[in-house]
Amino acid sequence: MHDGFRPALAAALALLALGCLALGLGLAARLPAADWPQALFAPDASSLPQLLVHYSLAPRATLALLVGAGLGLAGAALQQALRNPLASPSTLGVSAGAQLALSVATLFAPALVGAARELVALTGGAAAAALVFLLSWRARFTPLTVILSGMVITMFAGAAAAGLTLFNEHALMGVYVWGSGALNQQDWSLVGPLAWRAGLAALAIALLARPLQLLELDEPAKSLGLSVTRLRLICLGVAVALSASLVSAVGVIGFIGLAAPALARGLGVRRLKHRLVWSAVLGAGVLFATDAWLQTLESWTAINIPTGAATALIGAPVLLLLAPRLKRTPSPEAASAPAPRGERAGLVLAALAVSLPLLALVALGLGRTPDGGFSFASGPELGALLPWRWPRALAAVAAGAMLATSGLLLQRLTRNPIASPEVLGVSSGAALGLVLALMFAASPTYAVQIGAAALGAGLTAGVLLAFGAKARAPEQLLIGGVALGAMVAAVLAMLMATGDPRMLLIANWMAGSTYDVEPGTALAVTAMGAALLALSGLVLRWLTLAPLGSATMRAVGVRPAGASFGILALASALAAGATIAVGPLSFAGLIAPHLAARLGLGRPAAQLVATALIGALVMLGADWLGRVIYPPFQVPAGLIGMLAAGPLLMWLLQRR
Amino acid sequence: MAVLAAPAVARGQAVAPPQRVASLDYAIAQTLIEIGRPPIALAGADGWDKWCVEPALPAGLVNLGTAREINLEILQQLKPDLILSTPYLERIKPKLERIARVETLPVHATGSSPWPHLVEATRRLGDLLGARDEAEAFLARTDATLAGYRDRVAPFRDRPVLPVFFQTARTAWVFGRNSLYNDGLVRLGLVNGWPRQPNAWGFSQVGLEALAEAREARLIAFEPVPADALALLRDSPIWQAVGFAEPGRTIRLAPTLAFGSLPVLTRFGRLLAEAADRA
Repeated sequence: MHDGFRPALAAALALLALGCLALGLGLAARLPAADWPQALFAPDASSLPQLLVHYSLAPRATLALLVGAGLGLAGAALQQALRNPLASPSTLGVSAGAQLALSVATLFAPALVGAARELVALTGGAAAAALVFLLSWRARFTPLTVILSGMVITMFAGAAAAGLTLFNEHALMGVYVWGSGALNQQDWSLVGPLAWRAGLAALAIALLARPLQLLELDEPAKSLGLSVTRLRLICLGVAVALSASLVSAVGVIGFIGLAAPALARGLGVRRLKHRLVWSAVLGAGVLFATDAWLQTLESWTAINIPTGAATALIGAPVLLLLAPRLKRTPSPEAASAPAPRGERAGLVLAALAVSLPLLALVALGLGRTPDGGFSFASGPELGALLPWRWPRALAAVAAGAMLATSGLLLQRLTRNPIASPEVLGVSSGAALGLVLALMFAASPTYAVQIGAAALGAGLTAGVLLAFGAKARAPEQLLIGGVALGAMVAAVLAMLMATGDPRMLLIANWMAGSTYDVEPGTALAVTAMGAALLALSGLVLRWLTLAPLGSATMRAVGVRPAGASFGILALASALAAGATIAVGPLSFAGLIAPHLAARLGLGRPAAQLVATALIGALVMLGADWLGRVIYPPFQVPAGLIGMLAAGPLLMWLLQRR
Repeated sequence: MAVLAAPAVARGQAVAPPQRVASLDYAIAQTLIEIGRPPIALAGADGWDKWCVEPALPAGLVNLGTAREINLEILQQLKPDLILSTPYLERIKPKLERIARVETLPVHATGSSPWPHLVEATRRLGDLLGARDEAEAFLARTDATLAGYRDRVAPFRDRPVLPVFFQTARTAWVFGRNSLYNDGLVRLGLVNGWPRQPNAWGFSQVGLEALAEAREARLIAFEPVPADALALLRDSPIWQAVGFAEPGRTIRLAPTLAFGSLPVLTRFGRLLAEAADRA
């Protein structure tokens, strides 16, 4: 009856002690130790320090324990229901979905947020989870695919929320702060309602624990009169509801739900019942200690870091540690396409090739006038407007083709239909470089910003490739990439929440805007794209072989590891170049390969060309639409593309 | 004639001041309107009535989109002869210069009191637009208006003042030294009660419990105040002890622009004076 009890208890006590130490330091600065008990339990109404302890410090600590426990429990329950050690409210997109729903509601139906805040959060969280399951349906819920889908949904939801703030920065500053998970309290009003919700969820999960335990046995629990699917769904529903309820109360507290169960398992807790309990206890400990130390930090330095953003920082290392342990169960259905039909393929390619210059003509000529009308410019008028339009259009074409190609390489290599350039972490690296330049460069000119972004992208790609040389499955690398992305998002959330107006500049770039592209950048990215696309043609042979598995590759004399590395390096370089021009939203990379396959282009050479052309077309179209659809505002191409590509992707993946 | 006029242009003499001025910043636009040289185009004009309110925008003014992505195509088609920008938009200055002459006026985020920068910017705008007298008159008018409110806000002189913008029910921006509001308070003979050193923009981002650090202060809450924040201020035992919940200790003021220019201060002064009259 050992089952990791002692190490888990020791860890929990250590976390509690760590948190109490920080709280003690804070208390000591405010009150003599003799007054502590009075302050905690029956504060003297005339003593402000005592009141602050009783109505701010104490409820905040209680809330940290409660939320941490709830998230830990929700994480453990999700992991059991999905039999996936990487499942958590953060990695399944539940938190991000809830946050997006609340942002949308804050803008368009503020009354709804006041009246039914939790319901709004729940709807968003459940919708995100449903999308994740839809996306991983065909891969039969392979753990890595589920998590990859979840992280992609999280990224997209985050980008959509950021896009909303572009046109509503004043109104949504509060949403930013709330979204980054601030636990500040001024009374006990949140604790009660959250406690009974968490208690109810805990009770439900406790009742489910026995049948869930049976799920661990590989034989179907049907013989016991249980519908496995129904059991899993109930468990999922309870966990999602609990997570959404916590998010609606205190915002997004990243990755506690992932880290706590991982910690429990790491300490040797095996049996489900114990794992659920210890996940809750350790989750409470981690959040309590983190929050207590952040408060102490604020009292020392006057720097206010939102707790939720800080905990997201621990998510990346946990993901990286866990990913290699996952068994890789390759999905039987590779991302290959219906049988190609030669003559039609030629026709399709020709149509695509003709469409591109036609669309370019529209994008360069058609625009809006100050009074809101449309005008097709010509002559000197066009000459005056072209300098604004051609760099953006050219960069969109080049970046679209590059992202699409990068996506195709990744999807072929990993046989995962939702692999896309952003999961390489390259765009996150670029974003981080950009942020650092804006924060610390003496004069962050455009050249400095571009340089920093390129450096960030390059360094990340390098680190990732070094790591990838050791990884056994390319998907593990992708998890590393999304983990990095989550970490960068956490840093960005922290900076945004400081209210520093410079950070709003990042929001535009993050939403995929080509606004800042200069002629030099456009030409450079185009040249880089042309060279890399030519190189991609050279690895066609590897691409043909990759979906067939490493045995086939060896049989024809190709070293699988070397080929994988080469394809990954190429995909990273393509993504890095495109990211610099059009930001980190690479919907074109996700969707273009699928569209190419749907058009009946299955052979690698034709698929490569078609994918690049489609990528260029959709990005150019999105950029032009963004410029003319909502004048005088300019909607970033990435945002337009995402709104269109999201539903399209769902449809494509369903139909295949 | 053109041949004769050219050297005069080169020497910068006898040139008509710019007529078609585009402003990329609310603070600059406020001053332009006050000195009688309103802009023909403004970034973010759609949000003016919600966040800035005063002075009223001239009719027919063209919106240039968000300040972060000025619509350059529309700006160019308007053929401005002067673009007024802030250091915040330094990034796109080369592009703006392709359209027209650009003048940059640093006002906020200097880490020091905005007042002297605002006075200097007002004079510079007057010089640029051939409205030197109007600018001086505006400065004198601002001083006189603020001085006129000094007596009316006297009921608020019993305690320090804490200008707060609520972000959520539990977090807020508090405007301390270096903020525009602080400049206004000084000229109204009031004292800012925020003890912390704010950031370069003049505010501190805090959890609401930190407001207790200014426990003697009178809270000035700028609209829009989230409904749940007010309920919390009323019911929280901390605020009851601090006294923000007592009548007259929390004053709600209509929106004013934290990063605006001198018209913000006269508006702030008038709103405070009106609140004092009611008190």
